[in-house]
Amino acid sequence: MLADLRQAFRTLTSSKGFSLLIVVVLAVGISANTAMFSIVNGVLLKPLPFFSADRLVSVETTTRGEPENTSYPDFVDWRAQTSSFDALAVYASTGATLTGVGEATGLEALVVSPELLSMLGVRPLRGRVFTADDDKPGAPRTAIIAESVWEAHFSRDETIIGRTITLSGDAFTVVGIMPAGFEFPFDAEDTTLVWMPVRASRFSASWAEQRNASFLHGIGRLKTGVPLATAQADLSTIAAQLATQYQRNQNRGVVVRPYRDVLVKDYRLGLIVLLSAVAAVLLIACANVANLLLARGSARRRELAVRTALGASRGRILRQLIAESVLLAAIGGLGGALLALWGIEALVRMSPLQIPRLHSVQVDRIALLFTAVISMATGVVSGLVPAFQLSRANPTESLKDGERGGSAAAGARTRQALVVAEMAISLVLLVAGGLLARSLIALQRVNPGFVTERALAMQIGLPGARYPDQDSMRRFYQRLHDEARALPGVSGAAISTTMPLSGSDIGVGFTIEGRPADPGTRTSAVYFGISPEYFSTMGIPLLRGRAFTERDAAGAPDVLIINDTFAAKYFPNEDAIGKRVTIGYNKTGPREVIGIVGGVKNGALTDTATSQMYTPFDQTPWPFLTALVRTTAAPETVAASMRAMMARLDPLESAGELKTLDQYVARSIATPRFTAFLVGGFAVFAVLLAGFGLFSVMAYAVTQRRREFGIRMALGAQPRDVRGMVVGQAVRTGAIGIVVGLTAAFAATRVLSGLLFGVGATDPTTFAGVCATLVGVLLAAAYLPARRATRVDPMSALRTE
Amino acid sequence: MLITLRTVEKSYPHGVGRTYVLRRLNADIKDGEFVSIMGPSGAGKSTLLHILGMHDSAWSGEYYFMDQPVHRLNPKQRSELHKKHIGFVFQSYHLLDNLTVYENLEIPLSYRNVSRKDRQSMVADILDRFQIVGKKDLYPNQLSGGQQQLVGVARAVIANPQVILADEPTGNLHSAQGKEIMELFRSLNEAGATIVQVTHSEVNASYGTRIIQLRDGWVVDD
Repeated sequence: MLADLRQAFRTLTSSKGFSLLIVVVLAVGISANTAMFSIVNGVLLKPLPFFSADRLVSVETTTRGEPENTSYPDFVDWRAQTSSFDALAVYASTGATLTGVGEATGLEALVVSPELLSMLGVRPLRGRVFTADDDKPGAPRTAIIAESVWEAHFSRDETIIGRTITLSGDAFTVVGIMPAGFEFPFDAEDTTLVWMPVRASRFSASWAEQRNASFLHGIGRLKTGVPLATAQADLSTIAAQLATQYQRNQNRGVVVRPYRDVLVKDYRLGLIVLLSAVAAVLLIACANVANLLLARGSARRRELAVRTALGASRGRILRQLIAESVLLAAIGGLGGALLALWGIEALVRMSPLQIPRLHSVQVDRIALLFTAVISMATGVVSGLVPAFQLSRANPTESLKDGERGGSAAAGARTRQALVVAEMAISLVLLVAGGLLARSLIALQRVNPGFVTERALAMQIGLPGARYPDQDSMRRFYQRLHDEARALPGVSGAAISTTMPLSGSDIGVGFTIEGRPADPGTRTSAVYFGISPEYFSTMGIPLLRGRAFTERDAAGAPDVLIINDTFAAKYFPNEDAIGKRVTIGYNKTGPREVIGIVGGVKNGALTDTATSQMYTPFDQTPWPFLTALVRTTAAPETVAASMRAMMARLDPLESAGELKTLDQYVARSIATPRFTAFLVGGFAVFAVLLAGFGLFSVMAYAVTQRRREFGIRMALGAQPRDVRGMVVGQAVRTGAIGIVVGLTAAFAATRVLSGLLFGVGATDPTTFAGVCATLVGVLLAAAYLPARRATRVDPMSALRTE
Repeated sequence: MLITLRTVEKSYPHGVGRTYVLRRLNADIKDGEFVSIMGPSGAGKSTLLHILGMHDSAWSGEYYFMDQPVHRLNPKQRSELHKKHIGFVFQSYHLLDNLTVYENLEIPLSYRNVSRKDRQSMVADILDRFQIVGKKDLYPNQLSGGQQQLVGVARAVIANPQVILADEPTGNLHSAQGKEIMELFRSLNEAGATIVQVTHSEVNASYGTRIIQLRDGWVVDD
């Protein structure tokens, strides 16, 4: 085998240009596969970096089968009664402002039940994790900080453990430091920097006793040997008991799913599609390499015949030829791995941050092993067809001096079959890329229901320690609004609890006066507490009635504005204006519906219309809010003055996330854009490869038929006749590829349905456009060889024969 | 008898009929003979040589090689028989361009699974015998035509075959080089090897002990 490899190396270096071409084609194909596999491995396959990660499950409350967040009392009951779990825990993201050490700094925080960190099995760098005592009502407040916080704010002071720090105005004792590599939950945008028990945070403590406050995510570790179904049955029984005990829990259940599956469920299909796309590109690359090897093999037929005449068996010839293609693929794989090291960084940079664990993806040992395996497979696959074809050739013909090789016709058929496969695969990819691109365009054209241009939103949390009551929140809100409105470059300002497409939303239940509450029917709507100028600043149209005014303040009659979907759903044949609705927040009485506005896309641009309702912020203050300003110039120019304003208003509180509404929209379509861009890119590369494949086959065919063209031209054929023959042959080959590809695409694109928006999986426009593109590529690939065929000099062609 | 051919025929389909390259050919070649196959172009000389060399299996009739019925053997058995007993010399030498003289000589041995150590000693021996030790690291394109054919003959005999088949071995050489090669064949024959050559040259044929004349696929004189 070594001798075969040595000879293969010698053969390959003797035709450097040819070998380099193949190595480059393979390196690009392999690098794309390595990079994409690294991502799929890092995101979908790799075990979570926690103790017994395979036993970690997500535990979620369901309402009529729909998973949602969990309340703390429900969790406490599950934890007390279940026998299926080693540990059960909950967590929720929040924010905290660190003060007392330099400037006030906003930190992403996670409120957790005390067993979460010990359940994950990650040891703190210093100190300890939480114990049950830390979460007892009235227990001293404790916190665990991230190593980066320890470094940035406390200069790695070893006395930090046991020290008191101020978070959102409350004193917390630092009990531990989590190491830099620890990440939970997986959110690259908002990496958690501080952990605190649920009852230690005033915000979550206020909800911790309410069974209707569903704000927590559940996670548990199954006991060894306990199957998921048993745990599901166990918790379902507990949920059923709770439903009989508490009116709130009617229609509530529990769903237990593998934690990793829940974590990646929104990204799995997209990543698998991408991995399939790069695999298809590699297949095309293999077909191309096989084609090139076949073409060169024709020139080597005599050498192989000599080897046969000298006693080489067919097996030895096969081994020799495959050694060459494997060597080429190995070099290509090496190049591919190097390209992937660079490519993975680029891919991660351009990928949406929401994909869990993506930012920590690397080309690791598993990925390199994968590269080695696909390189070898590539070598064998691309070498096998030419090797079989060439080793089958009859040596007698090749050995007779002055005669041409024996199986040129069979070789031509194989080459054409390979091109057909290339065209078919690239058509499938191009259709997939086309559908995803059209889907992205459709998404970008979705009207979110508000004007996104020149608008900046700043999130703010009001710590309970310094804003203990509604009056203090109202005062802050009023000052904030007035100051924001007065900022230079600001044409309008408004306040809202949350912003559409910001990733945060609030769902609030309600009852309609005169209609008995039916526990079997869920009446809830997306809720916003807003300032009077909100609709005009956002550009949300008022359809009927009136908007809020300054007079709709605390103490004034309670009022409500609903959106058109709400009105159509709950007041289908009557006028909603004047109706009275009681909302499940702030324990106020019924509110009169005074206006109907247009709906907004709240969770995602793909959302179907949802019921939405608004109350005046002044009547229903919340401890967090978003300040929105409409600017006269680029919104980024106002960012600094917004932050400065916040520092003036409350030096102990920092501004949270500061983003333009355009950024919210862009973030909401980041994943489809990423998928469409990559699949489209791979499709273009695939088409180029297929075009090159067709070109090389046609060029080779023209060389083979040189004598025939010479004779035809000597007999009076015109250049256009010869051109027609060559192009005709290309069109016939390509047409078969297109037909095969269309059939495959009709079947394959159904898988994409879950990723498409506003376009069907068999969209005729996309299919037609792709066919037209491929026909264009086909003609372009045939043009040069056709032109060369017309330039054959009959005399010289006949003489060389 | 070393080689026995009985009613061997070779033909290609041509339209509705067939074109015959060899017709009902009968021949016997004894061990130690030096046979020249002669005839005009298209007479079937090279075809006959490749049938004898077992490169070609698409023919009918009977072919016994050392009493083994070649016509009944499967490709693998034929290949084994060929590897064991036959060496081939080509008009165009057909040395492998990417291999040195040493490696070209080693190739038939590696196909016969000769151990590395034995290969080294056998190549060294043949280089010495053909007095081409100084050329062992050269590539074919660094040799003259005569030198290349010398290597070609060395390659054919390195595995000690009983039969050497040569297809116009001096066709591409000038007369002095041709004479040198033919002398070499004569000495190999005298050393016991059976030689069958295809040639157009009366002079080359005179080195042999017997001439088989072919015309249009028929044996017209033996």
